[in-house]
Amino acid sequence: MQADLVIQSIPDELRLARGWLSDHARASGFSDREVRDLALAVSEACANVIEHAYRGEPNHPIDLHLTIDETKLLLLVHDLGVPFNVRDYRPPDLDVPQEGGYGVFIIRNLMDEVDYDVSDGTGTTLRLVKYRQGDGSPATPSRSRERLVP
Amino acid sequence: MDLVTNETNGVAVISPAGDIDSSTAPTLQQRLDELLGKDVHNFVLDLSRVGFIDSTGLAAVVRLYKRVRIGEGDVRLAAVPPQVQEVLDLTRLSRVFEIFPTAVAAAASFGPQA
Repeated sequence: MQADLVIQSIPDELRLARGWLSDHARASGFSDREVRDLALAVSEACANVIEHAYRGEPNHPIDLHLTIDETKLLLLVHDLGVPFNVRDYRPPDLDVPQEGGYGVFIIRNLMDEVDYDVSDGTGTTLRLVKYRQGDGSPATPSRSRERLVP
Repeated sequence: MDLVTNETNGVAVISPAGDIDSSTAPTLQQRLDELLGKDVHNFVLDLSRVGFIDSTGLAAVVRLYKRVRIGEGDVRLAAVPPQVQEVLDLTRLSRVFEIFPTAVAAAASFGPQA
């Protein structure tokens, strides 16, 4: 199945994105745990777009494109804001409670594949993949990867 | 955000309802700051009515924790639902906060003279 959603760059829209993705994932047989992981990942992804790509400005589009097949869920999150540079990312020090910086860390740990594509020169497309596991266990960290498509 | 607050024996029990994300965390943050301004140092966050929390919500809780720890205070969590527990585990914040099954148990853990 495929589905599309466009939300605006305001925090009130995050709930809409979570609900949309959760409904499709649940209907496609993903477990409750997987649905919770996906909801959190899309929420963090869109929140990052609002805060960093659009610098908190409202009324910019965030395009979500979803594809689910028999092996995986693929979500593309596209924005037209300031391109994300994954090389600037530093993971949080988990030994010390942090007041910020968990967002990308959470996405990377919940999804099996995380790619940032800035190659078309019109913002950033975040590509998120979660493979079906079916047993409700979280994504295996060793399968997670992240790369920047220049 | 529906946010119920009770103060008893120097312990503030905060009971937010709904999702805690960047659309609602500022309201929670404002209420916590108000209580800090009233010299409250011991907090219980009753999460029984919370359906979802993201990193923005975590940031509000950590911010509170860091401020109360400057003194002799603490932040304790109660009735943590699965999604919140999973995020706490992932970020290792579950090793920072004491977690209790109920808000009553969490408040009682501060003792009668808190």
